[in-house]
Amino acid sequence: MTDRDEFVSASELARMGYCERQVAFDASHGQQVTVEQERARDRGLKAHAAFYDESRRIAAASATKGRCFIATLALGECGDTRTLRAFRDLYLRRSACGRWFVGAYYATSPALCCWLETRPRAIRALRWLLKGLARAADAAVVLKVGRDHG
Amino acid sequence: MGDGVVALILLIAFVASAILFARRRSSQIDDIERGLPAELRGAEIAYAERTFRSHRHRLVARLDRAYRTPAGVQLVELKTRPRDAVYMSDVIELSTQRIALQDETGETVSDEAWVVVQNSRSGSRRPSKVRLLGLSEIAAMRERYVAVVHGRVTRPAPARTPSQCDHCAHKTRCGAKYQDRA
Repeated sequence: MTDRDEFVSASELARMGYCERQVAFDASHGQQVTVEQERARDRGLKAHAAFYDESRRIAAASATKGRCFIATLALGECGDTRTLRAFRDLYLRRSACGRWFVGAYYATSPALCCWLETRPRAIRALRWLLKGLARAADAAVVLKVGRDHG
Repeated sequence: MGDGVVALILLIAFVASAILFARRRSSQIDDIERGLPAELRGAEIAYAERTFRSHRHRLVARLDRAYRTPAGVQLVELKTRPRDAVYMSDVIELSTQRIALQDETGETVSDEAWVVVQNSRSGSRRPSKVRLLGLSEIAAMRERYVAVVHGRVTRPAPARTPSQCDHCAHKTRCGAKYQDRA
């Protein structure tokens, strides 16, 4: 295998931004670490383990949310639901009040969906309301990210 | 009871349960999302601790965390340091992650990413936004890395400041060879 074929890792390349000589010496004399660097590495590994645990908890919290979406029930999977999701991510999730609303929506929407499923008239009314909201949300999203957000 | 009345009762129940839910939930979420920028709080995690490869550019990268946002996937890198500082090495690492992730998954990855620095003494975290390097810069850096490792660069660049050499295991060897870092 030639050196053109070697995979280079992100952390190896990152060391080039710190000191090329260290990279060269590590290559010719083997990687050597001081006691202090060893301690720092241990601290880093512990912090990363905690960070990964937090990632899993956040992902688990996301997975339990939104098993049922009122908007999807009323509108189906379409441009309007995507716009409403973009509005959620661009506006609602960026403020404490917005996040509160999103959390409340996901907590209560399954029960509301169950109720709505047997009431086509209520779904029709909701569809009309949500389409209006989606139009307003679309204007807000376009304002933030431009026309090509979809 | 008509649908309208039931809808009103449900709306009241919705607001009441939302208040209770939000109070209970906010403290838990704040804890696991500490140190994150406001725009990533509540966003969907796309990947965590996953390795990606770019076969085209011969790069491999393990990322700490990535969020899926309307602007594309946003990378987050955790660093543990005694002081709140972001270095060029962080930008290089994240830029390489971006290329590997894009090439393996085909997803668009934002050219802005976050470095979350966790203070090694206090444990507090602070996010810093960084703009990532492009493909040509990383490809050139990869070429140079390979050249340095294979001894084809006669005079590799030293660390930016001598203080960076304080904890280097090669300090004596480096001083003897290059005579510019005592």
